Amino acid sequence: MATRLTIDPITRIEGHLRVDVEVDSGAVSKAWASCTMWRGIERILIGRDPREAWFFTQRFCGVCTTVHAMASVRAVEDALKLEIPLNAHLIRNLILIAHALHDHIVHFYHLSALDWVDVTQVPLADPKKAAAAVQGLSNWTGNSAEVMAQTQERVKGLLATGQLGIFAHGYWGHPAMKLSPEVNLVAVAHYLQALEFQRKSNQIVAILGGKTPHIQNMAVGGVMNAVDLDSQAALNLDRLFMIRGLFEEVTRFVREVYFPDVCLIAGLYNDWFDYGAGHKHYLAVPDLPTDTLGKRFDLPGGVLFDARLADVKPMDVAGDAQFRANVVEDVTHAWYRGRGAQAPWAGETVPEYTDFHDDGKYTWVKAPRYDGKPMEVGPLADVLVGYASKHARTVKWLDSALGLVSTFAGKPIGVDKLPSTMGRHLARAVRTAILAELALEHHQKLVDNVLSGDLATFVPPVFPSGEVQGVGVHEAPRGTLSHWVVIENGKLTNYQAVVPTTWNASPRDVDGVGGPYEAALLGNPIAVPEQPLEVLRTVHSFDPCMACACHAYDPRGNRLATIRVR
Amino acid sequence: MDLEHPSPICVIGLGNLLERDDGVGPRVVQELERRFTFPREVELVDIGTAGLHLLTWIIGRDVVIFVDAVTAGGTPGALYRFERARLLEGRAAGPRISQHQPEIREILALAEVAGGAPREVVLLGVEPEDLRDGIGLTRTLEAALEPLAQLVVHELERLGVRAQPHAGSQATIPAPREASASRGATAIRAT
Repeated sequence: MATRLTIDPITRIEGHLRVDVEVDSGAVSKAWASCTMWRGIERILIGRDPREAWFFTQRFCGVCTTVHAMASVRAVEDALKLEIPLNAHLIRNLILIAHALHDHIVHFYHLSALDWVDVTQVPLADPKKAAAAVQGLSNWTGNSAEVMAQTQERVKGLLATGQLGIFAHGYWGHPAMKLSPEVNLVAVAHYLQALEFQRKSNQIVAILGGKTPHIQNMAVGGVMNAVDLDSQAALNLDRLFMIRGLFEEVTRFVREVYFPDVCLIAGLYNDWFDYGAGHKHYLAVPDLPTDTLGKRFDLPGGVLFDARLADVKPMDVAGDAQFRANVVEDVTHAWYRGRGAQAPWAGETVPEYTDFHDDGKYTWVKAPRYDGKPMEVGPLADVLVGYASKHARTVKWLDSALGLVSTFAGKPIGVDKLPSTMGRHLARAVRTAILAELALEHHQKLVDNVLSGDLATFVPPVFPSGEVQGVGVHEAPRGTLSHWVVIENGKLTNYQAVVPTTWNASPRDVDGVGGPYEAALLGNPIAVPEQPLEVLRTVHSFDPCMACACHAYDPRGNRLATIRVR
Repeated sequence: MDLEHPSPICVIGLGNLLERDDGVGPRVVQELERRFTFPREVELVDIGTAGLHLLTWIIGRDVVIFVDAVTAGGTPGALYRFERARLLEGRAAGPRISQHQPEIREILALAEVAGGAPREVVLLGVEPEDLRDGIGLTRTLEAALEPLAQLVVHELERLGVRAQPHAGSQATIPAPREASASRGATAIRAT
C-alpha cells in the first residue's frame, strides 16, 4: 500500500512550496507540487504608468529583484518597438551576469550542497588527504592542507556546542549520504569560501545598479547610468576598472572551485543521473543582446521536445512569434476561477480557493504550457538547447564537465544523462562557467564602445494612443521569465508575469498531465519515509523560488517544515 | 557600501512594500533617511525581502538593527524589541524546500560560521494589521511609523550615535503613500 508524505514548510506567516508524494515499494509513485501562497500580485499594476512598473515588479521576489526589473522594461520596450542604446544593453547584461553568478554560487553551496554533503563527517577527515584530493583539480590557494585543517577546527567547534545553526537542516547520517569525510571537508571549506565571492558578485550589481537589492538605474528606454570616463559622478574608468577586478575574482572562483566541485560531487553520486528526468521538454530564450535592435545574442534560446537534440527549434529573437503564440496558462488545477488555458495577454487572476484536492484544484501556481506541453526551464534547458544548437561555448564547457564527471565516476557519463537530478546541477555549473567567460567579454565590449565615443544610455519612450501589447523575456538564473503587458493610452490594462518557477512547479493541466517537478519526482527512491532527502534532492535541483512575498518575523515559528506520513 | 570597510552600525529595513504592512521596515528606513542626517558610522538599507543577500549587509558590522513587521500575537501597532538571544531561540530543524526562505536566525548563524558576525543584533518590530497584496500601510501602521522610527533613533543614541534632524524636518512623519515607487517614477520622468 502506498504511503502518503506531505512536506510543507511553515516558516513564515504564509507557506511557500508544499510537495505531496505517494511512496510505493520505496519509490515515488505520485506527486503533487503546490504553492501555498497567493500569487496575484500583478494586479496592483493595472492602471499604472508602464514606465514605473519595473520599480514595483522588482519587489515581487526578494532575491531575484533585478530579473523582474529587466523583464518589465523589456516588455514595455517591446510594446513600443523601442530600439535602445548599445551601452544600455551592455550595462544590463553585466548586471544580469553578476546577479546570475551570485545566484548560482549561492544555490550550489549554501542552498543545495547539504543535500549531498554530510557536515557531521567533517571531524573524521584527514585534512592533508583532503587537500591532496583537490589540489590536482586547480591551483586554488584555498585548497591547502592548512585551510582544510582550519575549516575542520571551525566545524568541530560548532558541532561541540550542539548548536548546528545553519547546518541544522541536514539529514545527517542518512543512508543516501555517501561522500568520504575528506570530500565532505573540501565541500564545507568551499561552502565558507563561496560566501566571499557571492558578495563580490553582489557588489558589481550594486555599483552598476546604484543599490542592491532593488537596482535604481533601470528605465524604459535604457539605463539611467551616466557614462563619462572622467567624471566622478558617472560610470567612469575607476568604476569600470573596479568592476573588472571583481569579475576576475569571481570568475576565478567559478573556474577553479565551483565547476570542479560540481563535477566531483556529480561523479561520486553518479547514480543520481538515473533519477529525476521528468518530461524532457525544454524551453530557453536567448539573452545577452549584443546589438541595439536585440537581434543578436551571446546565449542561445530554443525549444526541445522529448530531449530530441536533433530536432531542436532555435529561437533567434527573444520572445519570437512562436513564443507569443504558444505560451498559455491553464488554471484547471489552480486556485483561480475557471478551467482550461488562456494566453497571458488575456489572462485573468481571479482567486477561487478550494482547499487541497488531489484531483481538483490544489495550488496557487497556474500551469503554463508551450504548444500544449509542460516545459522545464532553467540551466538544464539552457545547456541542452545550447548543445543541440552547437553553441560553441556550451559544447566546450559541457564536454569538459562530462569528461571530469566520467573520470570521477569511473565510467562514461554522456549528454544523454543530463535530464536528471544531478544533470541539473551539472548544467548549472556549465551555465555559470559560460556566464563567467562572457562577463569579461561584455565588460570589454562596454569599454570599447564607450572609448569609441558612444556615451548614450537612454532614449525616451513615446506611448501611442490606443492599445499595444508587449512581452519582455529574460533568461534568468532559474530559467525563462516573461512579463506580458497590455498598454492602453499610456496606462497598463493587463500585466502577467510567467516566472521560471511557475513553469517548473506547474500543477496538472486540463488533460491531467503534471508539471516538471511532479514528473521528475516519479520513480525517485525513498529510503526512509520520515526523512525524504531524495525528494528534496530532486526538487532542489530545479532551484525553486516561490516568490518570497512575505518575510514578517514570527517568533513562534521555530520549525521550518512539517513532514506528515500517513 | 564599501565592502572592505563597512560602517560599524547598519540599520536594515526588512519587508515587502507590495504586501501592505509588511513594507513597514523599508518605510521606516525611507522616513529616517528623509528626516535625518546620520554620521558615517551608520548605514541605512532598505533590503526588502532579501534572503541570503542579507549576509552581505551584516558581515563585518559591529551592530545590526533590523526593522520589520513582527507577528507576535499583540495588537496591531504594538512595538517590539528583541535581542540576538531571542532571535536565535528555537533554531530551525527539518528540511527546507524553497531555496529562498532563510530567516534572520539562519543568516545570523551563517555569519557566525563564516566569521564576521555582528557583536550585537537588535530587532525593532511592530505588529502588522494587514499583510495582503497592496501598496501602502494601514492607518494603524502609518501611526506606528513615528514611534518605530523613534525607537531606532533611541537605539542609535544608546550606541553613542546622534541622528541630526534636517532643518525644517517635521516632528511627526507625514504619510506619503507609495513613497519609494513615486520617487522612482519621478526619477524616470526627470529625464
